[in-house]
Amino acid sequence: MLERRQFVTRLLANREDLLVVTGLGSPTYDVAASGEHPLNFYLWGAMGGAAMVGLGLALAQPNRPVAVITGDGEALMGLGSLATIGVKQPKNLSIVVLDNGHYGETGMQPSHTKAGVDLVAVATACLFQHAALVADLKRVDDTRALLHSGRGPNFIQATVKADDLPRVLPNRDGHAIKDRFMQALRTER
Amino acid sequence: MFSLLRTCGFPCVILVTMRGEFAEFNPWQVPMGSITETSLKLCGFLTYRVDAAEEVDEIVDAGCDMAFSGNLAVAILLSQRLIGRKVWSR
Repeated sequence: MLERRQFVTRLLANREDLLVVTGLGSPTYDVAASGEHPLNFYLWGAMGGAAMVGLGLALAQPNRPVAVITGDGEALMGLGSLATIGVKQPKNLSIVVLDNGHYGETGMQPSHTKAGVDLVAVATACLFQHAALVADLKRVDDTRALLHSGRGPNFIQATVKADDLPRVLPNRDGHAIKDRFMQALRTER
Repeated sequence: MFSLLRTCGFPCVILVTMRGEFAEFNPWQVPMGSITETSLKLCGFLTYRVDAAEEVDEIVDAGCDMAFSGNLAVAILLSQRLIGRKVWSR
């Protein structure tokens, strides 16, 4: 099982032009903890929508890699979006689910993945080009390379410990997050 | 999901093909169809109903202008009367 922040920090190392969308709750804090970056689009709400925000970005920016880093509860709430991603086949999109098997924000109730619902099998059935379970930090470099491979859509279910880590809170002002992201998109490159 | 539109100021245009109104045969469509426009207004949308096919182009064009020039949320309701009376028996 992975330490979630160690995994995310390694995954986002040397990220170059990677665009990152975070699912609300712990994945937002994990990405913020890995280092502030103007190409992070932090979701603080819209539960179930992270993969679709990523799909929209991937279609609008087809020459840049896009990674959605979210949790199992958030992904489960938007399962239908995996089918839509399968239909659209964005080569530059990766969905990374940090799966702790729990709804961390609401009191650690067990999620459906805890009961055995297999998100990798769902992604495979939804025509993702690559879908895998990652539970060992030895595989983080391969996973990082996958995000930049341009051979997606990719789905990674990363099994992480159900830790209760200190919160690292990025900006909550949606307009500011959006404006900073758009500005960085225009000026980098 | 509509919270994104307000918290981030995203432009949004949605086209809604209506049910639960003109000559509706299926009562299960009525509870939501009858409150669609009110609900969308509550969620922060500007709403426009279109009842005639020849108005669709102009109103969709105007809605897109408003949404994308002002970062607003616009919902265009294509009424059931416009879509036409459904044939329920063959």
